[in-house]
Amino acid sequence: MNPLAVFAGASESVVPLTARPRIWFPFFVLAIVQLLALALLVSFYRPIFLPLVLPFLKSVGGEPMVHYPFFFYGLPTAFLRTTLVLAVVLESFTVAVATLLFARAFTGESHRGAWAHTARRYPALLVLGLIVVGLSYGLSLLFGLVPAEAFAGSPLVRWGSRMGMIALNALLQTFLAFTTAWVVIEGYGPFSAVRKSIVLGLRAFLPAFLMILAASLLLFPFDYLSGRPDLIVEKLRPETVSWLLGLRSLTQILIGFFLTGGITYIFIWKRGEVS
Amino acid sequence: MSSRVPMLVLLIFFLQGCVGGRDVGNRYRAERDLYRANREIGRQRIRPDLVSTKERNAALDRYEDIVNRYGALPVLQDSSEAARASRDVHGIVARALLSAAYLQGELGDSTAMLEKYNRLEREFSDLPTVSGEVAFARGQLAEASGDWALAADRYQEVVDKVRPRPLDAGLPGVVMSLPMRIVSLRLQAAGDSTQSAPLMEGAQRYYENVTDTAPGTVADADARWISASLSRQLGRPSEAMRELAALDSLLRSSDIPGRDPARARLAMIELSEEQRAPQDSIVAMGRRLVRDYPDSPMAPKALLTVAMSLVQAKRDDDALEMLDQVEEDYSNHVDIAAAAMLYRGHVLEQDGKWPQALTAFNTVQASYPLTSSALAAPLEIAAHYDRVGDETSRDQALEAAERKYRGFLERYPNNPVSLEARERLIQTLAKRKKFDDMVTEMTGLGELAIKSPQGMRYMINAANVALVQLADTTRAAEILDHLADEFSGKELGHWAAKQAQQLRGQPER
Repeated sequence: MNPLAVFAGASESVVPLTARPRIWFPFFVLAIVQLLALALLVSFYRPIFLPLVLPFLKSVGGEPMVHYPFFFYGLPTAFLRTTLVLAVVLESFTVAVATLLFARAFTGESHRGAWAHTARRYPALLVLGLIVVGLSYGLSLLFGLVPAEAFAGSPLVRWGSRMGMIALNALLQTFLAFTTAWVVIEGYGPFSAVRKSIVLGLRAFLPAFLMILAASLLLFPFDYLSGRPDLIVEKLRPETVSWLLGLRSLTQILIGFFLTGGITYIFIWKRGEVS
Repeated sequence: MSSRVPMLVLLIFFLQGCVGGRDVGNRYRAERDLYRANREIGRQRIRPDLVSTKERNAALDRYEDIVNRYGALPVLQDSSEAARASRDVHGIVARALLSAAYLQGELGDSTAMLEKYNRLEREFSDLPTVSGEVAFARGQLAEASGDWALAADRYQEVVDKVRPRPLDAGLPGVVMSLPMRIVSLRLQAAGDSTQSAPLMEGAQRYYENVTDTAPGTVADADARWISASLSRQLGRPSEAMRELAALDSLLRSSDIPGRDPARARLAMIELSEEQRAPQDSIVAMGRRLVRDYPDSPMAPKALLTVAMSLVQAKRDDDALEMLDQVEEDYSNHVDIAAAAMLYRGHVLEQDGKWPQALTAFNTVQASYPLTSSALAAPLEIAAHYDRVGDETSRDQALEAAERKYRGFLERYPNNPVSLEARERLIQTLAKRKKFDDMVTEMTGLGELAIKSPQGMRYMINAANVALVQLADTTRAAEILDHLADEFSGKELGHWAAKQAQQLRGQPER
């Protein structure tokens, strides 16, 4: 089957499921927790939150982080670090719940017990989360290899390295995309799941890669803008930075829903070949 | 019981954090409120004509809210983070109060403004920059009301309190120029120019102190520059040369932003020229400057200076060669190329080569029409005919000059050199004895910047020409009345009103 046919099949199967609030719920949980974390960061100056947030903010951006408007220059980094932690401890779980719910919806099984079933796999998911986040973080360090002068001096180098990073990250995610499904649906351990996911990623490379790349490109405007807080603070209200980060979390609900649905669809369709 | 202990420790830590962190939180909130108020004022300043009084008052309220909300918070004096934050809040309140005072001044409420300055002096004397700002504002008020001695005292307070930082946008950025302003104010107050030397020496001591306390900085470079200029004015060329050489070496050895190292070299060339140093040495200095700093705007200026010096030494051929080089190498620097061509005209005229000189004067007008040199050329031509006693050609040249200036002003009413074109037109009208038109042009030019010393001078001169050349006392009195209205309540206003009154008391001649 060609990649476009897989896309069409995934869309046909995922779109009808948008009417099922139960499948949306894990994504909402994640977004709400992310928004609460963001609210906590931007309200750090309230006496009740200060003891909790102040040391973290200072570890991110030093003394300037607790001054207005410099706080907003460092907010994207602080929020990124918070979401990395959440990606390990929460997102690994909520995406697993959603994967299971999608799989059951595709195979016509009942949704009952999905949360409890996933909770039992939580230790494996946690390890998996650490592996995925660790590898993604390691990959992002490659960005630092681009010479600063070339990056600042040439738009070609700038945009080439940005797009190159998106493509590389999509490539990595393609091989790791099926790990959650192997753990939560098939009951594999984290390391076997990584192995299996790489094999499945190779077999269903193009559709999975395109889905992940499309999702990354949809989030790119948010990532680009939140990477230039200096522009936002100088041209607009500094608070726009926090609104932008909040909007990214909300957009992620939609993107996460379709991406998880599409990946689960490919998994259900191709897992037999790997097993 | 044992499980409650960690909880209790956590609670104590949390409560302690709440109390200690309150100042950090207050500082953040105060910074935010001040940032928003400043941003609003910045927005209003983009198009002040579109801002209503209500909006201005709302901006003022923002500053006053900051003062009311955070002004009563205690200022801690220890070295903890909370104490530092509380002192920062104290500084923010002072800045808000200062901004409110400025705004009230702009809104015309001088009573409220002075009250705020008083409060700043009372409650924020521990903040040198803030009390410096108040002293500076009071100095400006005193200067505006003509109290030169008080203004000088106030500026001296600023100099004593605020360390100069020439690259700063605020008060520290202007401190460096204040000692010189103090000298000029004290001289004005004393009305005795013989006092200038000791006052200038006092200012020089300040600059020497800056050089000693902030070596290798922009302040050091600027202090050396002013100090060299003072030495020059005090008739101490060798001291000036030493300062300039030190400045040159400083600018070459350290990367000081915004200060052209070639500037010191050019000043050294000018000084050598003043001191009648050997021509060859001056030429060598000029060539060295161009070799070391070919891209500096000072390089062509140096060559022009050297060319002028060669003319004085009767080495006209060398001078013309140098001017050719400037025109050729700096043809994209229109002001410089035009100045070189104009000067070429002078040299040729002096050499008795009038046709070639005339070509140079005409070429500068055609090739670089929007430059000062092009505007000077028509009057240079008339001046030549004046010198050789050819009245007919002189009158024709002046008529052509008037036509050119009027044409220029019609075509370029808002060009950076339009003001100069108007001044040249006034000079032309004076030479043509068209005094009526001259008065009209002078009052027009005076109106453009009536509050500036130059604008005032044009108005007074216009009244003088109306009275002396046209014997039109009514017109002279009208101009003085206008000046009196503009400066009502000030010394100049009283003087103008009195003069107008006296003129009206006289019968028209």
